[in-house]
This record gives sequence, structure tokens and C-alpha cells, in this order.
Amino acid sequence: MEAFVVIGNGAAGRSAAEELVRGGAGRVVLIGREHPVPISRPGLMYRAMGAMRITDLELGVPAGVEAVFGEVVAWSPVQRWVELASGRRLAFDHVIWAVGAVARRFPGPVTVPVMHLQSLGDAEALAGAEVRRWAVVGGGLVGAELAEWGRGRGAETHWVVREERLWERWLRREESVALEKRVARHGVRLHLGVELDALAPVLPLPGGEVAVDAVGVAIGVAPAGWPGEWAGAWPGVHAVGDAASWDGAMRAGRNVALRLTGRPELPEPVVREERLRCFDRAVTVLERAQPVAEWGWLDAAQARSLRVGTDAAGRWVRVTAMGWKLRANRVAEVLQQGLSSDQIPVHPLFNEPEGTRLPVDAWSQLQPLPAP
Amino acid sequence: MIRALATGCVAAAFAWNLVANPGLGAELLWLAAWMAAAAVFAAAEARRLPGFAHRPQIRHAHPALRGALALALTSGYAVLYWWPEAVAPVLPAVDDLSWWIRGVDADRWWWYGLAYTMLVLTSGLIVFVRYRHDAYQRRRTAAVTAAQLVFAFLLPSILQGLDAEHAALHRDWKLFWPLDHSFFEPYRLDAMRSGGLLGRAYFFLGLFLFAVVAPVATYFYGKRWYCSWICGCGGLAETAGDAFRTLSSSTPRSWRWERWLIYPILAWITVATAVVVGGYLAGVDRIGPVAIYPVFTRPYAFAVGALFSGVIGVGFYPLLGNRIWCRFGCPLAAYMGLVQRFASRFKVSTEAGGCIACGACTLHCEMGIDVRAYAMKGEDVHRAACVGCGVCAEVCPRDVLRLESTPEGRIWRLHPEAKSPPSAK
Repeated sequence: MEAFVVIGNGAAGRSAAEELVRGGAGRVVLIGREHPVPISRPGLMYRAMGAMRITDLELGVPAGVEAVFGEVVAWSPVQRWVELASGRRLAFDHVIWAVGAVARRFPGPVTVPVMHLQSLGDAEALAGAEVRRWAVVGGGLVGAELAEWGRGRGAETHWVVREERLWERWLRREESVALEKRVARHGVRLHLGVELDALAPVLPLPGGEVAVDAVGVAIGVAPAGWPGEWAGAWPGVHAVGDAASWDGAMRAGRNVALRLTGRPELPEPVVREERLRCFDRAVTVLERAQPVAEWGWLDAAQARSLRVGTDAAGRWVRVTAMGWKLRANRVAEVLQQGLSSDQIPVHPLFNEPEGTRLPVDAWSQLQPLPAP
Repeated sequence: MIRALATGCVAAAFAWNLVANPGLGAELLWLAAWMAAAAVFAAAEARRLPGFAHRPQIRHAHPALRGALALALTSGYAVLYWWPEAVAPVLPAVDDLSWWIRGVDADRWWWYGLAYTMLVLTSGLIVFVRYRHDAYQRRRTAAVTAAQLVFAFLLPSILQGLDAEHAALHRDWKLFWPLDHSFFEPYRLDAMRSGGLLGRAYFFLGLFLFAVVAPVATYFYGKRWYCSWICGCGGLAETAGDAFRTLSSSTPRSWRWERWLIYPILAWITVATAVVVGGYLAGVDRIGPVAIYPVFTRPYAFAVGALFSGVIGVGFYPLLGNRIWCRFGCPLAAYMGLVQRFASRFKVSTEAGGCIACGACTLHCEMGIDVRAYAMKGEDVHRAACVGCGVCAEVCPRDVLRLESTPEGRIWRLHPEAKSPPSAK
């Protein structure tokens, strides 16, 4: 019976361990250093906001997996053991490094308290923190969460974003403007196109200097110190993870387990998916390929939009929705099957309560959009 | 803006009470009693207002505070049920209103009904504002508060005034046995028999609601049609109790407790009612040496009807969440739950692969269903307990949950040759 040791009990590690047991692997040990059992990382925001306790984040240990709490301080890929800080040594036939990512640190000088939102420790620190004047650096999803956290504390909140507009990777200019208005309505002062060289108690922002108690830094993540290059260097040593997304990490974890138990890996998803949230606005993007033409609808007053991109044959290849509840799996099905508007009913694509007015009754109501 | 609106709603709730109850003496006492009850709920509510997020929500409040809130509520109920003299001094405060509506002095149950209805209405306003983005929540809150005001309070009160001779006959129109556990008690049956056409109408309405409306409506819509759209207990839970919803335990152990309590209670009231009705039809009040009332009727009325549904059902909101009664005790919920579990179109559908396991749904489920566990596996939630409040779907950041009561395939035809819905697992 082979022994598997999975180091890191995040999304990738947990799903790898679960899939190993499902595949009939022998002894599976899941080592975590952050918390004894796997936790939900997307739920950390709720912990930071004070809405959840740590126990609410716990996902439970998959049946048949032995969970071990501790930090790996030494290992031997040749003699095949890992050693924990407690001195306990675990032998393995296969080890899977799945230690995830850490928040990227601010690259310049820092002379003000800085907070991140990546680990359980970060969330705990935020949950216990008090701020009156708060700035957030970084225009991504976590930046939006940290800005929301500041407003939840009743703090004067400044959100500093390097890009010229919000979420330009996913949204058109009009949509970004609508989203920015929405953010302003929540009392956040948004500073676009600003790049700070240093984080100090007084920040030089457009419109004057701003004094802050602390700064939230959300400028992405970097792979944690896992020895990725070692994977494959010795038999039985594997590394897995996806620092950027929960879904990607789960898939990667399952795939390595499927491979190790001699089963076919999951196919790459045909439709890529991004689901983001900025305060009360949800943005959903599903994409199979780059569109050649795009149709859309935007209600600037309510900051809701819907866009459909098609290929040359008029088949849907991308759907972008802001402020609407989409039934993403059905939209993905539509994109995957390569259907065109006349084959796609409107209502089933939305997850809105019955009676809600939808952006369009028929796809012909969407207006052609100029090339971005 | 939102903070101002929410604070305004709380202020309006208190202003409402001041306007509705002017005067001195008994009025002040009544006001104090009502304000004390409202303050308990306001204490929980205030912790959810924007700007107060740095204070722990009621879920994380010190156990001593939650214990004190629970003690205050249970004491209030104990006084109401078993110490009527203590309630008597405040009754004159609402005599005028009682005379105006139904032509008699207020009694303690009418007084309680008024206080309960006001609490549902004022808290309903706050909940309406909180979930204003969601059409389902807006409609549901409007329906459940209106049902309390009209069917449980105004209609019976007005009919009591118009038909003073049969005043005892006019009760909450939601005559659902087994929730209305005394429906088949001899004194109620006698009142309905002697109540002329209206009395007989009440009798058949009660039978019809229990035997036809409850199972049929539950088949089509799930038990939410009653539990979170009409019911008075649900009305309080969904409005004043909303701040307590995150206290409902979602552990497998509490699910076991749920099953070991609610179904025996349903069996208990079924047996007790069968005996009572049998005795009534046979014209006897004993079965051999066993007297029916003290053995079959009174224990249930005390233990379940008063202690569980009232004192514990509301009093323990700050300890066990806002649906303790509905989840662990209500025999009507058990009955409709069985229909929902085994023969209903209703389900909370989840989107396979869409869940990021954040846990907001499980945290907000007032019935303690671990929705996340289903969503992570992409399984639909078919649970007897679900009251279809829809808050799980409302709080889901990825919009992967949906309350459905339409048979799959009927609304979804991607293209004509599709045999089954593409969303099916």
C-alpha cells in the first residue's frame, strides 16, 4: 500500500487528497500549517468583515484522509520522508507539494501599517483591526474587498488603482465608468491611474495629501516558497497549484491525483470563466474565443450591462454581464455548443427572480458595439 | 446612504410605537413592555447596520449578552403565559383600540397579538430595506407581514366586533391543524357547530387547508408557500428574527436532533388528536380509566403549544437562531416537509462547478442546512427542512443557487431536439 503525503491543505491540496482516496490510493496524509483542517479561502473576506468565525470557514477533512497540523521544516526526496516542526517524521511513496501562494509585498519603502487579505492570519488581523482612514492599493477583486472592508468599518476609504479605469481587462469603458460611479456611491474615493512609490502615513494622491492609519495592499499573489522546480526531479515528487483561482487550484489538485491513481485527467475547460464582485455589482465573463463582433446593452443609471460577442459565423463566443445574475452553466453550454442568437432563449440564461425585468426580451434588442 | 436609510428605519420603528401608543399610566407601562421587547431585537439588529461592522455581530456577541437577551425574552413569555395578573395593568392602554376595532376591552391575547403584529410590521420594514435589491425577498417580506396583519390580526378582530355572539369562533384564519393544535378540541368543535353557517365554514376551511391546500401547494411550490410567505411564526422569524438567522447550527448533530424531535411531535399530536376526536364522536371524556383531557390534550398544549412554540421558540432566538420552533418543533412544518422531501417540485438547484465554498449560504441558512456541502458537490438541495426563504441565493456571491419549483425541462429547451436540460448533472 503506497503512502501519499500532501503538503498544503488549501484548495489544491484538499482536492488532491480527496481524489486520491476516491481513486483507491493507500494512506493519504494532508498536512496544513495554517489551520488543522482545510478552510475556504474565498470565505476569508467574511471572516475579515467579522461575519464569520473560523469554524464557519472549515470545509472538513475528506473521508479517508488523515489531517496533520504542522509545518514541514525538512524533507528528503531520496529517502522519502518529510519532517514537521514538532519533530514528527512521515514517510511517503509520493509527496505532493501544494503550498499555494502568498500575497505580493509592496515593492517600495513602507512606513505605515500594511494589511493583506490572502491568508487566515491576514483575515484574523483584519477582523481585529480598527481604522479611521484607510487606503487600498491594487485594483483587482481583493482590492475591491479591502475597500469594502474599510467602508464596513466606517473608515474614510481611498482606493488607489494603477490602471486608468476599473477592470479594463473585462469591461468596456462605459461599463467601467458605471462601476466607478457605483463604487463612489458606496463612499469610496477612487484614484485611478495612480501609482505610488512608497507607502507612508501621508499619501500623495491627486487632489492633495491624504493621511491614513493603514494601507491594504492587494497587488496580486506570488507562488509560495514551494520547490516547483523539484517536481519530477525525483520519482514520487510532485508539485501542484494555481495561485490565481480557486477553480484552477481545485482542478490542478484533482488532476495530479487522477494521474497518480492511473485515471484520465479532467479535460481543459472549453469555456473560460471569470466571476468578480465589486461591492454589490457582480461581473460575470464567459469566453470560448475572442469575438469578432460584439452586441450590448447598458443601463448607465443602474450600472448594469450585458454583452454578447460572436465569431464570424454569428455563433456566441463570449458573454459579459454586470449587475445581472447569470446562469453561468447554461451560458457556458451555449458557448460550448456554438449556438447563435436565434437558437438561444433569453429567460433561461438568467438567474433572476421571476418577474424581474430582464435587460432584453429578445437578443435583437442588443445594440451593435464598436470595436474596443 | 444605506446607513442613513437603515438608521432611519430603526428610528421609524420606534416613532411608530410612540405615535401608536400615546398616553400615560398603563400606556407608559405598555410602551415600556413593548419597547423592552423591541430593544432585544434592536440590540441584535444594530450590530448589522453598516458602520457597526467593527462590532461583533450577534453571532459573535459575548455569550453572556446572548444569554441575557434570551432570558429577557423567555421571561416575557413566561409572564404572558402563566402570570396573567402581571400583564393586566398594561391592558387598559390598548382598550381604546380594542373597543374601536372589536367593541370589547383588550385581553392579554389580543394585546399580545397587537404587540406581535407591530413587531412583525416594524421589523419587516427593516428587512424589506435590507433585501431591497432582490425582488423575491421584497415580495416575500411584503406577503408575510401582510398575512400577519390581515389574516392573523385584523380579520379576526373585526369579525369578533361584528359577530360578538360567536366571538370565540373568530380566530387566526390560518386554521392549520396540526399547528393550530386545538382545532379538533371539543370546545372548538362545539363552537363551530353552534356557530351557524360561518362556524361550519370555519370547520371545512380547516379541513380543506390541512388535507388539500397544504399538500397540493407544497407539491407545486415547496413548503415555502406557507412557512416563509404566510405563517405567523415564520413572519416573526423572517422579520424580527432575521438578525439571529446566522445562529442556527448546521452541524450533522443538530440535523439529528431535528429529526428526533419534529417527527415524534407530529406523531404525538396525531395520536392525541385521534383520541380526542374519537372521544368527541363517542361522547365520552375517558377511555377506560384514562381521562382524555389531562392525558392527551393538556400535556401537548403545555409542552409544545406554549413552552416550545412560544417560550423556547422565540425566547431562544439569541441562542439557537430564529427558526428553533419551525425546525425542531412545528408539526405542520414536519408534515409539509415530508411532502416536500418526497413529492414536490421544489428544490434549491446548484450550479455544478460554480461554488467557491465561501460558506455564505450555510451561514445564512436559518434552518441549519449545510447548503455549501450540496453546492460544492453540485447537488440540488432537496431537504424537508428548507422553508425557501431564498436568502442563500441572495447572499451567494457567484449566483450559483436558485429556488426552483418548475419541473426541469418545461422552461428550458435549448433547441428542439434537446431531450433533457443541459444543466442536468
